[in-house]
Amino acid sequence: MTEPLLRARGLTRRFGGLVAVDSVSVDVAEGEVHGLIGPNGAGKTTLVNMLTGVDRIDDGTVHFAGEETTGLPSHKLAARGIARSFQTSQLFEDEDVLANVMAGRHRHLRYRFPHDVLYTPRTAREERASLVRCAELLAMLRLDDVAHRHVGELSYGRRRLVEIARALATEPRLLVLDEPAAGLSGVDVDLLEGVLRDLSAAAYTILIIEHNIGLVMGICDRVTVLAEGAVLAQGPPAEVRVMPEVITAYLGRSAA
Amino acid sequence: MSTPSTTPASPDTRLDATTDDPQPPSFTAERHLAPKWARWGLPVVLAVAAVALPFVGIDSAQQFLLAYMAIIALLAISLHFLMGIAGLFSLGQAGFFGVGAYVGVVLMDKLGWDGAIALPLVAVAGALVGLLMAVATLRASDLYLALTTLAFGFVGENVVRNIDYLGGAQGLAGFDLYFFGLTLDDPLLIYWIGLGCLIVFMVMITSMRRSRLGRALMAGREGPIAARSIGVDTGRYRFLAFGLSGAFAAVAGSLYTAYAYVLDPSVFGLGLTTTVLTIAIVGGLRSMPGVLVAAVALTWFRSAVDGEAISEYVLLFYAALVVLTLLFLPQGIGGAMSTSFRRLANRKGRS
Repeated sequence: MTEPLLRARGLTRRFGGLVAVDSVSVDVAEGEVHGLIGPNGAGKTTLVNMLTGVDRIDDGTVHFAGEETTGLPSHKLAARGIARSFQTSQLFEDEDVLANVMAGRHRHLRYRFPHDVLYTPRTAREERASLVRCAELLAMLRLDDVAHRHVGELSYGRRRLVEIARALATEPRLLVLDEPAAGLSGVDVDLLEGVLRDLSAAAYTILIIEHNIGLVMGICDRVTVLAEGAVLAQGPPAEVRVMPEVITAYLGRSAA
Repeated sequence: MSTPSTTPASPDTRLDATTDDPQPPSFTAERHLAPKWARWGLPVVLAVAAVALPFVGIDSAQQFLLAYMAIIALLAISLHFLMGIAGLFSLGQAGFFGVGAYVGVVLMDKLGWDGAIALPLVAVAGALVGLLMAVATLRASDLYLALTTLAFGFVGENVVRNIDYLGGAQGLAGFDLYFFGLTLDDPLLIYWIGLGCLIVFMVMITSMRRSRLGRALMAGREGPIAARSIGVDTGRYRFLAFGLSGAFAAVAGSLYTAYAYVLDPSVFGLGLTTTVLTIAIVGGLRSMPGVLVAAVALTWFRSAVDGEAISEYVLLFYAALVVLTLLFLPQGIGGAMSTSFRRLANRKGRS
């Protein structure tokens, strides 16, 4: 079996006496869309925060693209190609949509010191290429008409899309999405699903936390079900959804 | 600056011609990139006017006022960069200013070096103090950050006060300063040097805001967690912001020595910090034009009331001005200016 893009082994995170994530192992293969589901409080966001360097890892190891990345801070993981969106919006509020997305190009701009304070032809050339790419992303996420609007003026759904656009602007090898569809209207969910399908078709690797089961079943190649900090089940969505323990975790004992 | 365009795109400007989306994108790179003259035209005209300003025939007092305005504007721009662009709340600008003033005197007067060599070295010294400040405040933010930076001014003041070589509490007076061989006692020469530095700094800041470095600073200011998630090492950019701001402010300090011809530990004082903070807030922290307008206006006001009875209440007036600004113009003069420009542009666009 080939080495997965992301390999986490025995990840554990404790908050005082509470074990939020308990020895969780997850593999995300190159090119797959991997769903992370589970009831509220199952530790999904904590796990994702550990994988993206936002939260500490108490125990366990993470390998990304064949190298150990356990405990690396998030900016270093981002430089290696892990980008993410956040459950609670983390946009650059005082800036417009374009500036938010352009910021995501950080790691792809090759020019350094004298070029940024003098705005040399080289700067202009690279900025232009970045801008072209951002215009593509904005068009893809139907954000082109609000490119110059402050993100604070946007609807909730479009703010989520800006966050995804910004993450995509980093050209990630692994895109981590923390409940991208939460609070989205039906139309926006459809748009998001289309975007995720496009990304999947373009061989992006995606790890997605999602409560919208329809969305998960529709787009995921494999899912991991977490409950009370531990892995309850792993496998293709069609198999996982009929497992009795999964149904119990979601609906309670009497339903099983 | 560009405004949202309302004209439909012609098919050949479409970036993403492969999709079957019937609507052409309303945002394209081509239309976003404004022609160069639109961006640089007005600033160049204003810069030329500022350089030529002394030729309209002004008396000596007005020449000194111009020189002082340039120095205060330099200091205010250093704070605009640190607070407005990088989002780091500093009360330490007088610390940089004082270090620049004393390093300038030592290099130019005591060692007799020409200002053309000394000024860059003063900038380096200011940058080093800035880096030191970044180290000292590594884990502090907001008010704690402000208070730690405030301490730097006090430290500088007391260090200088106890060094006889630097004149101690009495200070130093009467310098022989040169710039490219010219005696640096002419206020107009100080004005032109200050203006030159100001233009260089403003070009640097403007370029940064449109490029990688400025966006990294913006990201760190607006959301450190999100900034790191896109690969911005926020700690590193903090060092850079303090270093550059320190360099700018130190240059202002060394020009101040030439301007005042005396130098004592009070250059580190809180009065100067309060003045530039007032300028930055009234002008609008994020707005370079706003900060410039406020620097000129408040410096003019201060000199106009000099010697009058109310001059003792200048700081009280500043405090009132800050409160009024925060109440009625939270974005400062700069914010008000850009809002009215946008309205004007919209009206023009519609007619």
